[in-house]
Amino acid sequence: MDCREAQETILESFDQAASSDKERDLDVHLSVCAGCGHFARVQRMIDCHLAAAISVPRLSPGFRVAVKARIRRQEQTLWPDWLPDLAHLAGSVVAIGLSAVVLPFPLVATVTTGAGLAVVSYFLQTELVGSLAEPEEAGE
Amino acid sequence: MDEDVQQQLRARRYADAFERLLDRYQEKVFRLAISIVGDAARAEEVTQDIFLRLWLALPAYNGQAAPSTWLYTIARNTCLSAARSDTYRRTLPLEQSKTPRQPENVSTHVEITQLVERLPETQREAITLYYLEDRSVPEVARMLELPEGTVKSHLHRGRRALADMMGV
Repeated sequence: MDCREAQETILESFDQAASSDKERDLDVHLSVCAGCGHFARVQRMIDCHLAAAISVPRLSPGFRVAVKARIRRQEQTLWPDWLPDLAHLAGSVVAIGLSAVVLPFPLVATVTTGAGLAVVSYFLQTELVGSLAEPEEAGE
Repeated sequence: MDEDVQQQLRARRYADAFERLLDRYQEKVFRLAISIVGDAARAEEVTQDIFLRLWLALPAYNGQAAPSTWLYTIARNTCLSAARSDTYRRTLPLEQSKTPRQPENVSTHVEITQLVERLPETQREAITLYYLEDRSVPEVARMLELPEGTVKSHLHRGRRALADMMGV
């Protein structure tokens, strides 16, 4: 066994026990090679340091709750952002159309008033959506 | 293993399957995240990201790979993205260093973890995960999706590099 093989055997011995033949060859080599003996001592020291330094951590107790909260938030945001705007537009068009048919006012006045109210309600809706979203963002 | 999870996924019982995967793998995925992103607090955030992605991907599971293999793939990709975009780790890998390093005198466990941080990515991940996973090369290989021989090679190179850095 030469030095390269000896050092590989030393390194492998940390992962799995060497065969008895290999172990005997290594012992013979180490008895005559100071360099590989030093290598073996250093590697054992490194192994001890690593085993002591790399401790097994645990997840915090709130981990699962946090994951499920994020899933809930994610599912809430699966609705597209533009959906409230589309619903508002469709609702406004229907309301103005019905008003024009049902109400006994001139068509232009009804449509103009309806469009004005649609703009105002759109801004109110935007403010409402924003105020609902803010606490959640602050909580992250 | 995980046949029960596969059955639940086939039956579209995603919430049950997700619970089982959390029970079985949350700590392992956390340790994988630590080996890649380094910091434990950051690793926990990334582990949350991984399980969120897993939840979203469950309906797309096609049963070709074991659920654990599939989860580790998601985990590893998420960790690598996080590690690359992180401002946390800015240490230069040993082989890219322009100036020769002075030998280090390792007297404490903290110092050896600092040396591990300087190893190239693959060696650092293999060494950290090896000790976190109770010295199991097959488990490290499964989690990193690498052949066992490759994991051993990274471990050996990492150990040699640590000895060089220590100058002993």
